[in-house]
Amino acid sequence: MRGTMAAGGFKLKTLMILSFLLTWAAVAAAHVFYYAVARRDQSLTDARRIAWREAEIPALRGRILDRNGIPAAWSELYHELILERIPDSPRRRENLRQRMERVLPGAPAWTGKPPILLKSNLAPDEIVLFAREFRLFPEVRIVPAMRRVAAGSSEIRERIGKTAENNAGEIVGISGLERKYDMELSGRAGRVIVMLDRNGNWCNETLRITRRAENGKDVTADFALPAGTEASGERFEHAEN
Amino acid sequence: MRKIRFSIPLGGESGPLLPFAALLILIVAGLLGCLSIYSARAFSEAPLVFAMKQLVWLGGGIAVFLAAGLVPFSWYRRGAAGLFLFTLLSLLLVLFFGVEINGMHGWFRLTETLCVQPSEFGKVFFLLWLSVAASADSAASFRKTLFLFGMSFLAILLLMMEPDFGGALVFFAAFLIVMAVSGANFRHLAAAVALLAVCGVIFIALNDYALLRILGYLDPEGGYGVDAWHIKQFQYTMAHGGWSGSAWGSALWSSAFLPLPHTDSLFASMVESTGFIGGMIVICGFAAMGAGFTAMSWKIRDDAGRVFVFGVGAMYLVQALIHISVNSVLLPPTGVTLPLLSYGGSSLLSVMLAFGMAFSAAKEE
Repeated sequence: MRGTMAAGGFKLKTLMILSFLLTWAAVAAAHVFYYAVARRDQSLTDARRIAWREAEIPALRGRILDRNGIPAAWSELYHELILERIPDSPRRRENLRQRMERVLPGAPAWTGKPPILLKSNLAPDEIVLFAREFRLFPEVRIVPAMRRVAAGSSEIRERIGKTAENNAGEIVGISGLERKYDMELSGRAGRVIVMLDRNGNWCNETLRITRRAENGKDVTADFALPAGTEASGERFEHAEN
Repeated sequence: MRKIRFSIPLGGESGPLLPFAALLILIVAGLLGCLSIYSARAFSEAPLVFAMKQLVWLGGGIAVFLAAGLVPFSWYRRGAAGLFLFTLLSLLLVLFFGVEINGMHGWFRLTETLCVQPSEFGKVFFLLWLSVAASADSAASFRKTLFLFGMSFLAILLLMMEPDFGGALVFFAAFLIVMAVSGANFRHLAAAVALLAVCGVIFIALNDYALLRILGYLDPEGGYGVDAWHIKQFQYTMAHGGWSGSAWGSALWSSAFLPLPHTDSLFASMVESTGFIGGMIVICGFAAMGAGFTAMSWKIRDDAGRVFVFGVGAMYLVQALIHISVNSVLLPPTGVTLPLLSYGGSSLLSVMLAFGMAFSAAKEE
């Protein structure tokens, strides 16, 4: 079908529309300039405030050795799966519940007030599985923590003493040798800065150590563990990282 | 000495040629899109997945572009009404049989990993039908405008029900563009705009999420939830780009904070990677695309053909400007992809189809 519209009129109308669109493009470009260049410093300051965090890396508490150099008390890393808060939206709550039923059938019901311990002593393959399955649910976290393990008879364990977590989240000795040599065993926590994403997860690419952790020193006690003594596995206290 | 033209023969014996340059530009733009998608996903668990998929779609898109350019435009003109009816039907069916992705009920699931978004192809067929119908006779009668508006309104309504507010905006822009260049009465057009504006206000009033987006846009510090949060994130993402960007593959802020950095937030992610200079290149590229299609439409004598060719350039320029404006905090958030560059097979293939059809129309000059 050949043209019935006037070519001049068509050209003029298209030029008018194009001019409007190019003006719009120029305004958009000005906006990009404003945020990318003119207002950059202020936005970056705000962005750093909301996303960057400083965190402590706890120092590894030193070991207590018997007089023959055999470990009698030491720190051990373990992981727990914790529901830190229940999702606000009903849909999200239902999605998480379904995911949990599939991945973790024996998980406790959400009856108590969070945080709720879903599973303790995670195996390495469980850590990988849960990290993947709950990636979109920042409410569920795999929390690493340290616990103190002691070996020997109950008498020796009593001499070794106990630890507890103080208000700053550090493990401190509260009795026995743990208390007596607390300064030597404690070490000094390190510091890192890291960017968090919108779900509160660490962006590992941004992690920077600002102060290296200094691990606690080993302390030698005057008792001797009987030959063949194995760790009792008894868990005295623990502290979260 | 005889001059050699770098072109691919697509017409008949005497038919005009599809410029080689256009094909080259599309390939370069498509590859830039793949690179941008990779950059936006660089810090995800599988950074290459979306970029590689897009590369496959780009290959398919080039084939669609060439094939669509081979078909005579008269065939498209004859099938315009049928294609538009097919569009309306698919937009209706997707409401019942489609799947929801990113809060929008707008995809048909073909296989486990393959989905098709009918509205992407629908906007091409809608534009084609509108161009043909609006150019059918010269009389800009009220009845004709009313009929075209009614059909357009039906398509827009179906999109709003998904809800795809961004897609509806692009359809509406296509309607305005075609009617304006086809010589519709200004008062009729103003009435159509007013009616749709009223519908838009009713839609916003009935949908809390849309209202929150606008309130969040007007006052990003006002605590209007996730939308105000997204607006701030767009600002921070661009700030990370500065003049020249943080290098490809370093769009960390986009990856960590932007919603859908490889689709609806791609422009902001590109600004983070390439800075204001990279953003300007993208904006100028789309402006050049609009100007190129406009110049191409002037050479066509067939009314439907020239309206369609201008419409393709203008519609995708509008879509790009909506995307860029949302990403640069000039408009409230709405989900629209950046044509040619954003991830998505339906989006890329439909753009290539539209461009191929436009070159087919230009061939019949």
